[in-house]
Amino acid sequence: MRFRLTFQKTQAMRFTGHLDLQHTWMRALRRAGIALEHSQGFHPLPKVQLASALPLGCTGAAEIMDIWTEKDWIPAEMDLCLQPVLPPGIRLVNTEVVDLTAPKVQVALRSQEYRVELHQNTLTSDLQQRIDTLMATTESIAERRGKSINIRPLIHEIQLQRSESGMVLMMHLSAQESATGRPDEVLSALGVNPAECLVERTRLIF
Amino acid sequence: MPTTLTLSQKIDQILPLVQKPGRYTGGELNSVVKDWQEVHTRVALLFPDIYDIGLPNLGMAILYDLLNKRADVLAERCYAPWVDMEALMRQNGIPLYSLETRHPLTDFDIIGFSLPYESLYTNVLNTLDLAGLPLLSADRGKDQPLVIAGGHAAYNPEPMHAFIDAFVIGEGEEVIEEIVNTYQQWKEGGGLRIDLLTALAGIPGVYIPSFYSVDYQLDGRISTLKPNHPAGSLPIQKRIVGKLPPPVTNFIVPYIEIVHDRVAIEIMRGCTRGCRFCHAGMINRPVRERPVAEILAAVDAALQATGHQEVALLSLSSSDYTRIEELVDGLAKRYATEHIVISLPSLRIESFSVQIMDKLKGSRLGGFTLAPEAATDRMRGIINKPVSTQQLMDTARAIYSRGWTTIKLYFMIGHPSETLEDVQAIIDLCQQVYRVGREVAGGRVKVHAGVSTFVPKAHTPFQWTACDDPDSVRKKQDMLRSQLRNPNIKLSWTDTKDTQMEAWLSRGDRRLSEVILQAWRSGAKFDAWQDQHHHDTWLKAFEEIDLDPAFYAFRARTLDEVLPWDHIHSGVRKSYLLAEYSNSLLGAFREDCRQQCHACGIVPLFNDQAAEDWFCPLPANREVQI
Repeated sequence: MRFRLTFQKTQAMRFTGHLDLQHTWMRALRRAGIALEHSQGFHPLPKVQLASALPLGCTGAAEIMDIWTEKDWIPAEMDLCLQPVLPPGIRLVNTEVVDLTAPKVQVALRSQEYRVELHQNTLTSDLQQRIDTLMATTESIAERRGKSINIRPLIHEIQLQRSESGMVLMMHLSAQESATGRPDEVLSALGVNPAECLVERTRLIF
Repeated sequence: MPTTLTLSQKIDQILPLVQKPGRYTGGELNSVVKDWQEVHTRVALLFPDIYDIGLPNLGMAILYDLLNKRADVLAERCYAPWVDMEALMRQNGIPLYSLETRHPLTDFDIIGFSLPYESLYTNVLNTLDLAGLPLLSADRGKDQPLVIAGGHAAYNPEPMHAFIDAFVIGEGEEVIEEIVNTYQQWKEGGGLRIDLLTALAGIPGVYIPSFYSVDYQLDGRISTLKPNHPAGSLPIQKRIVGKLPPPVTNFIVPYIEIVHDRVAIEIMRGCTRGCRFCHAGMINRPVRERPVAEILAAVDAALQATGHQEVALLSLSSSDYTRIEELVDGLAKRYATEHIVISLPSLRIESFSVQIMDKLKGSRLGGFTLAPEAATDRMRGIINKPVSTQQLMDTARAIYSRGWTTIKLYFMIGHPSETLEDVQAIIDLCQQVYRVGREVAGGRVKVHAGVSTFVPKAHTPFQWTACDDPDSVRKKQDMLRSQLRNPNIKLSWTDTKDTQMEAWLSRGDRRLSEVILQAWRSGAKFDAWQDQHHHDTWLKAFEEIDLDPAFYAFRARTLDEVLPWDHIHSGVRKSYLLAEYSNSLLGAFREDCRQQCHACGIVPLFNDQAAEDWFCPLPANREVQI
């Protein structure tokens, strides 16, 4: 049976990478006694698919993962088994059944939204202007793994907002398999030091 | 940046800038976070290598579990930050901190170092420095943490004597409690630091190096080691637990991948084989086994608590565990369908081992590891490892025919009496094993030969032996490399520079403290890492301190010499080591002491603690008396 789990990846886990997050989930599922289906072959692996890698250092408010279980489960019962054994830093928000024939989550994903809390020292006086300038261009080059790429097409929208905790940037970025926007690159393009921000992915859009 | 940032905020700000920040965050599942105000004593357990290596250390896990079970104590962990993190910590004025609550190490009452091997020594200095503590024990005051150390390397504490306030010799389970109790009494009494050390010296197994003085002869050898303080008694006898307590099961589950992502359950402590080069085999006597039911229950509980997929059953010689079949059958029955991988290291070279592993192999088939150590009967007699070539070939055949495609063979070169013929025999043996594999299982077959270099260790029958000359070792390694060129035979070896450093430090005396300090000052750290080369730094440090490294590595000790660790008693008599040394010169085998007691001395020493599950038969002469 196939399930879609929506979860939060919070403070304690924001420095856990994609592969390690996968292992963390597999261990949690084993602790919960939820046996996963395994791939065939010489080195069978449990069937788990995370929708999209979250950049290291970011928290996630609604991350998504599909799992394939050996046995049938009622989502509410699965929740009951999982909740008590989740590690600090993961909170399960929703569990639902997904049709076995539904497309892979990674493929179905279209875009993503980020919320960036700016550090109080970040210069915000002309930030709106910098956003406008960036959005008005068609090309903004960033370096990713030694390659130059144009990140402008990966940015759908950026909004500067005021919140209780200070200034906040809301970003809507592309999240397709070969065209994924990264919040740190966008922040750098805006002249903001990503290390001084708290970045949270708030939504994955299918 | 505002200066009001808390330590924790400062840490958070540099974490995005380092590799694998998950090493430094803490907050892992099963870690224990206690309220600092609700305990009397705070202990930092410090493993002086990176998180990835330190987290799976079983000794740390045992002490962490024991100490945190006490309501009046908390124990937190700390590891050496990798060089990138260290640079940022120094840059930003961040002292070494504990993972659980991010307290600076200076806030703790006791800092306990784990010292499993010598190549961590410079890291001990580096972590003390990062903590902002004086490196020398003598320079630390009464308001600074007590610095203790234990582990296998502590059996020769002398090279580190200047930096550590108190060493624990032997097994830590009971003595750690006594140390904490003593500390608490001292703290309530409000005495001086010397009072604490005096009280600690009264605990069996605790060694206070500053209570002893060493004099040297003109030739550099020790003339005497004498107490200089009334509390300094001789000898320091190691501690053991008569009966192994139930194993730890609530292992901390890391958020990042580490060297061993697995549950580790020690099934047995000690070994009766008596291989003469083996430090662990000599210092961990007597043999004590855990009951099968206790192990099965522990494996179950640990898998529940961690969700790990791999279980390692640890011991120095798994095949010697008396009820190994019952244990393996129990595990196989329970986990056959659950994708759980169970590993059983240190199996003897015999077909029985293959039957055992066959039951555990499940869906994944890794390599099968055997440790013949030597390839000629002559060398086998010298090291007391009686495994015939025929036995090895039969076992290899059985392994390949049961579906394994890779056999790992561990060998050791560099005994001073080893000849090129002995090394040639290693080459021949690897090729022979490979040919058998081809015959049985075809082209996919692989052999991995791990050839390490012998380093004589304190408290073993080879403690008097010289190390092989590095040129000779390199020649042997060249020979191995040039003749094992088959792409399906993988060869690994130890850099002679690393071997030399291990050799200086394993049998060093007190004067090496200065060399270690000098080497660290000149940049040596992470000496266990092959990519961090500090050989020249070390040689220079020896030169500056005016000591000769060859004196420590390449000199055979005379039998009447006072050895730097003679005052540390491992429970095995020096006369026994000497008899074994003579046997090695004769190439004579000594049979497993489960067959017959060779009177190493361990039984009478711990007679009051002897339990039913000790596997020492009565000494031969005593049997006659009865």
